[in-house]
Amino acid sequence: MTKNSDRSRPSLVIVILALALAIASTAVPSAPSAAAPASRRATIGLVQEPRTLMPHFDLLSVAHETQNLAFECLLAIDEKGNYVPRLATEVPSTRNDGIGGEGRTYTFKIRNGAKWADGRPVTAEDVEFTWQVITNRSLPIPSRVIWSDVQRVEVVNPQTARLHFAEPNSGVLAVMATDSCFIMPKHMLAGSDLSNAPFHRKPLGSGPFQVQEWTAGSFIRLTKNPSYWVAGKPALDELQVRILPGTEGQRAAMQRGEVDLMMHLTTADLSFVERLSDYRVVKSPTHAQWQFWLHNEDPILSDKNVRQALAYGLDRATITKSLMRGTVEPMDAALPPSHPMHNARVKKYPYNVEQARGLLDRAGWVAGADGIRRKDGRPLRLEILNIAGQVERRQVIQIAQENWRRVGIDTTIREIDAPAFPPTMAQGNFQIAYGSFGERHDPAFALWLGTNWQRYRNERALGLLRRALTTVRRDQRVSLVREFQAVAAEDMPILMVAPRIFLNAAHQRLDGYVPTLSGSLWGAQNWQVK
Amino acid sequence: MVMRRFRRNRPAAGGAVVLVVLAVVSAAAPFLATHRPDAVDPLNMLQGPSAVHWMGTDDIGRDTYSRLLYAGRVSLALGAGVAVLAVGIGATLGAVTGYFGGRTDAIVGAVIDALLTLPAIVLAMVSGAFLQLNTWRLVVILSLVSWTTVARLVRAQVLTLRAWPFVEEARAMGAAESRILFRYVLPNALVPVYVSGTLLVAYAILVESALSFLGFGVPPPAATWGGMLNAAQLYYREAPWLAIFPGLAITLVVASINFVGEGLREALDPRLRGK
Amino acid sequence: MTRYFGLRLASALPRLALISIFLFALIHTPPGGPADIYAADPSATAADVARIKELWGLDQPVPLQYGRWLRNAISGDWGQSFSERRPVLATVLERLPNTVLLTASAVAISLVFGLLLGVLGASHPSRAVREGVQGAAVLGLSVPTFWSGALVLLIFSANLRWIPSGGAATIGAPFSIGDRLLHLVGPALVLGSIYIAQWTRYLQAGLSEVLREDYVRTARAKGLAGRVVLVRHALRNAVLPLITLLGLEIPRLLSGALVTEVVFAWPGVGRLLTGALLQRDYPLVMGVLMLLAFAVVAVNILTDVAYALVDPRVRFG
Repeated sequence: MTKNSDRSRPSLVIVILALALAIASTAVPSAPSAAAPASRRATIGLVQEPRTLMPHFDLLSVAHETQNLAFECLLAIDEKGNYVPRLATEVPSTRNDGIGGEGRTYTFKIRNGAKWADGRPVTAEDVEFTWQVITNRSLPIPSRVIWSDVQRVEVVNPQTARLHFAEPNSGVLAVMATDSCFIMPKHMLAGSDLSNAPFHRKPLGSGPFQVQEWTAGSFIRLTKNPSYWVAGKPALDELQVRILPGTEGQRAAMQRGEVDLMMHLTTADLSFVERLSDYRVVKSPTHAQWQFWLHNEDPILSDKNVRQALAYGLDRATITKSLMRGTVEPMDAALPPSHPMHNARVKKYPYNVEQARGLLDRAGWVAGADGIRRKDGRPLRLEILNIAGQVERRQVIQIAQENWRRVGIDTTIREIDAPAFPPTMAQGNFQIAYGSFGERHDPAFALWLGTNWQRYRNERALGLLRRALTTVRRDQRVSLVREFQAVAAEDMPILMVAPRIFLNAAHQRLDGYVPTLSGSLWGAQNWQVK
Repeated sequence: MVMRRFRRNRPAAGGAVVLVVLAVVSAAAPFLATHRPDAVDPLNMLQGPSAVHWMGTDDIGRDTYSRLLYAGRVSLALGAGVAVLAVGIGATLGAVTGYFGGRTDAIVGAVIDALLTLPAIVLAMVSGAFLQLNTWRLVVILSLVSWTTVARLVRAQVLTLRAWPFVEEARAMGAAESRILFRYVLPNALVPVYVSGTLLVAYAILVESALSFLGFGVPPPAATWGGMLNAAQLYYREAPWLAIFPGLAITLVVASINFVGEGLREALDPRLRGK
Repeated sequence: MTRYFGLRLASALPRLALISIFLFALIHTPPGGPADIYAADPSATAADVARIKELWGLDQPVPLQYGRWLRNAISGDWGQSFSERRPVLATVLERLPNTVLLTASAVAISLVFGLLLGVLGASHPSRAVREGVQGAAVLGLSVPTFWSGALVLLIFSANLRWIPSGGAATIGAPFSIGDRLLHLVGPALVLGSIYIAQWTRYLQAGLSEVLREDYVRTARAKGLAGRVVLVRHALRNAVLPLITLLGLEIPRLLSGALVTEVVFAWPGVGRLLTGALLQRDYPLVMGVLMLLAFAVVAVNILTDVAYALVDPRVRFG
């Protein structure tokens, strides 16, 4: 008996040793934690983890949102859609001489008292440095929009930076308030290898909170920035960002009331959240929409009749009503209704099977015995490109496939990984592609003058946008962009489906949560927990 | 004899019946389905089981029952395909290396060792991420990462069998070595492979469902039980039937296969004979 | 003993080398890659993308890239993650203990329950009980873990509130064993459940066989009590193959961990791998895979050693 237990011990010992070792090694002493009391902290749930917190290196929206806590932009956009100053003291305009040279120079005055978390002041040199970083072609930076058009940044004095453009540029304010807007600390980063700096994991910004510890795969803990420039802000001492990748984990966390804000829900989460009395659903505004890119130079899709037939043949009203649970309405204009330059009076494409069939007949595609149309013996078959992995995208595409089959169009799906999507689109290696695209607040041309993956070549339409880009007067700009939308809706270069909204669930105890176009976490300095 | 002992094993016999029924039902999907499996009806999504939709509808209003039948075809074909292909590769390589030994043996042995350093699902994930996946490619990938156990089994059997008298007799009668191997040795060496081959079907079905969950599963329009179960995770509370039916299908099939495998093992085991 | 260990370690090197070549080729040869993401920026030129490829060494032929990777890896430099932008080794090592903890706990849980159920299933006088154990074991094997895991969360975390909703520890709380165990129990049970079934089946089958052997019958005939026979003779012989099996099952255990980590938001290497694959983060993918391979080889050797220690027939040499 005793002999026996002796002999089976080694394996048991190994298991116990391994366990002890593992527990011990995961017990890395964390930064002096002393968590803030519950009333002084809030927890944010993220479905995905940022890969880096160094601004401008990662396009993931979760990265941008988390950076929103620790970094600041020159401007911001408030809940009414107006520009408001943030690090700058005022919004540049022609009236305050902030915009000069008919839109060729933009002058930003940095707020007195704005400080990095280590107490050093934010200066115009930091703005210049940010521009140098973003336009450094040896760094892997995924988007250089607008900054790459800047010819030079003039440091007028330590408090004043002036951006010089070769051509008038009306897109500067939007970029300084939204996507590529975070100002970086020169004194921390100048001269270091930005590609691999420790700053990626332990950043330092001028925002209301500072990253204290980042336990990969679990959470990011941020504490109040003591030198934040708004007196008495932030109201909270600590923010915890929890990474919750699994659907059931997210829901359990909400049901237990563990998160104050659960970000980026799906429409399928709506009915769940609505049944939780402690949470309310908050729609985060964006100017993004779900859309089908149509390859305008494809042999089949270059025919406008076919493109319009696809639009009439897609039952978008049903998609928004059922799948999107009535949170949005179908859209036809190139810009969603939330956009200040949206044109509501463009050509509409309500679901109309007869009209779609008529257009295809006119285009020479005749219905075959199997219901699929043919022309010159070739079937009307199109491939839909999709990003693998997301249930919601597949659902829309599968409805579209069924809709289009009814009018005689056969479609197949090709799925690729997210990183492969942009290059595939840029190479034009697609016929139809489903995805979302978000435009800027003002102006709104990235989809058309920027990527133009759809290969839309109507010079009259694009000319309107080019003129808008160099038009400083806003009312003129708006009418140019509205005219563009009217022309584009007739051409149907991209089949718009519906606005894309970001759904967040906020706990009732969280006060002051106001998402804007500047982001969901933009106002975290004003949060309070009841 | 073997059949009789197999039939006396109640779980195994039951499992076999379940499998046959499911296979027949899946094969007859076009006749048994009440709806087209991809006929969407978004305005009737997430409906509970009813007279029209026996197992309810999914998130775009497709009939769960009809989809389950068609998905069964893909899942079962995938499992069977992996088993056949993996057994084919494994048995051939195992037989050749066991019989001839030498350099081939060393090389194949090294490849097996290398493949065994990583979980098959990880290898499948990596392959899936870098190569475009579809059902058949997934079958090939899963076979390529799971033939190793079969090869080892067959090799060991062949090693024993090649020393048996009947091999010597065949050789004395002038039979070619390859003929001896494939005609006399291999068929006898395959006995334990029936069991592991059976289990491979279950394994492939489970791995496919895990891959679906991790985002590396079979892309649409092909539906699998794993894919259906994965898509259902958004609706565990709202529409539990979406998870229950494909989940039960997987569990039932995998359990049945395991019972059958167990039964086969017992029925084929010479040590248990005559008991 | 040391020599035996050393020999086994040396014999594992070609194994690791071969798998590394295979993986490297699989990852690096397909068209497209991490640098292509940067082509999406309208202001990016072909030269910009080429510069990033050069920065990451992706402009070289694949065999040369492999040579450099191998040289650096041997000297302890596993490269820099493209997406996380920090050393790969540090990135993986930060997560590895969590995965080790999870899998080791799952093994421990499954061994304990597996032994109990296996003995019960083999020796209980009632046939119904024996078959019930067998059936339960097979069912445990057959349920997809992402489903059972979600159900565990739904029932025990969301509704009963016994276990946390995910993660490895309470954020900001001082380290405590209790807190850790509370976070661990859900994922470890779910991951372990497959192996409870596995061990139960093996043990049940092994024990039943041993119990039929002559010497056991003899012992019984000599009047030894049933339990003594079971423990002293049968169990000992049935447990031996279990150790080897444990080594063989490690890869499958790790693959189970991939799924469990996502369900329970457990910060292990599995989730790191999924993310790295989707990002085409070549060095990180290589790093995670090779470290997993190392872990598997190490466990194999350890179980061999353990086997040798337990079984006097195996001699070190």
